[in-house]
Amino acid sequence: MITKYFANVAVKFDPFSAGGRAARLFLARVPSSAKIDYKVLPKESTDKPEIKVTFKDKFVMEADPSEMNINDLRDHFNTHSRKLAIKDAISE
Amino acid sequence: MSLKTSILGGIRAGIYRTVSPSLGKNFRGISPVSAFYSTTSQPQQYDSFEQRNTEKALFSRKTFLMDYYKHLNDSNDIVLFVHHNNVAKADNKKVRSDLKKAGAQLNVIRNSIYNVYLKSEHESDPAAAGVTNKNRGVKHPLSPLLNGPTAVITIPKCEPSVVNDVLKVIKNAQDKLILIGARVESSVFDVVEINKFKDLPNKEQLQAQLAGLLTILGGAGLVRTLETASSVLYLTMEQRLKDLDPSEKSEEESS
Repeated sequence: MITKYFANVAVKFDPFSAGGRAARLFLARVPSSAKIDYKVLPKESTDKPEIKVTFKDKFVMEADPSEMNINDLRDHFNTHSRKLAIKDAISE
Repeated sequence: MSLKTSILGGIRAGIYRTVSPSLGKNFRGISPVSAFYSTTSQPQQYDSFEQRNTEKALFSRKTFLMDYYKHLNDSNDIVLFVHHNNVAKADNKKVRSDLKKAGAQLNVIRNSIYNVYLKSEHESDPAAAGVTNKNRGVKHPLSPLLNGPTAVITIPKCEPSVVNDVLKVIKNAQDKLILIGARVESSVFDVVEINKFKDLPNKEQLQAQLAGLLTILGGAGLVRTLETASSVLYLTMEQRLKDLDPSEKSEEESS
């Protein structure tokens, strides 16, 4: 996963549910350069688990960790990271 | 090699011995709940440590970790599960020393081995040969927490005030440590339940409160109630004696 362009990461997850796995594996891959904002949901919470990434160009992307595994999440966020990487390569 | 083995064996044997009989009993004494995952069976006694028949090699790291996780769970009332994230060396040192001051200990765990331990937690020796295969299908309520980088914070006594201090340390570490769940005695808590738990008074205080309440409000009444049975028995016997006495007298007169 290209995490270089992550500015803010907001993660809401329930560690006891199936979505907790993807969310935690995603959190583990986020570098310390990005600001992490997290919320741990209790077992019977109506709040939906969510991953929200703000990129360095202020572009916001969202994902639901209970429906995606870590590979899906990687592909999802890489779509925009790759665009930024190409832009970077051209401007050099 | 032989020296190394014997030293390691000594250490491991030490851990195993301290774990099995005394602490195991202690743990059960505190939490008599017979939940399916609580430790109930009596630890098996071995003639010598070397004779222990384990699933993995006796001196392997896997067997050692299984024994260590058993030791951690048996000797601690509270086990907090945290997700650790980008903990740098300096942070790590600070967090560990802060936790030590609060009376807790941090251990980074190996998820798969911890999960295997949890599945055979109710066995006397979770590392014994065949036990892992026997409990393959067991679903432990804490298993979902064992994904990604996980650590456990262990607290020996069931003291909500210590949990409060530990939560402050976790909060100071910001996004480096994320509390995800806990096991308190034999029940599993989520984040909200832990936050409620940390504000509770401890067991001694609750017992003192109850005792105070009984002496002040219902003390006299309670004592009377408790005495009723014996006093009723006394009165009945007394009456019976009186009933018997005149008949005896009459018998004496007739004879």
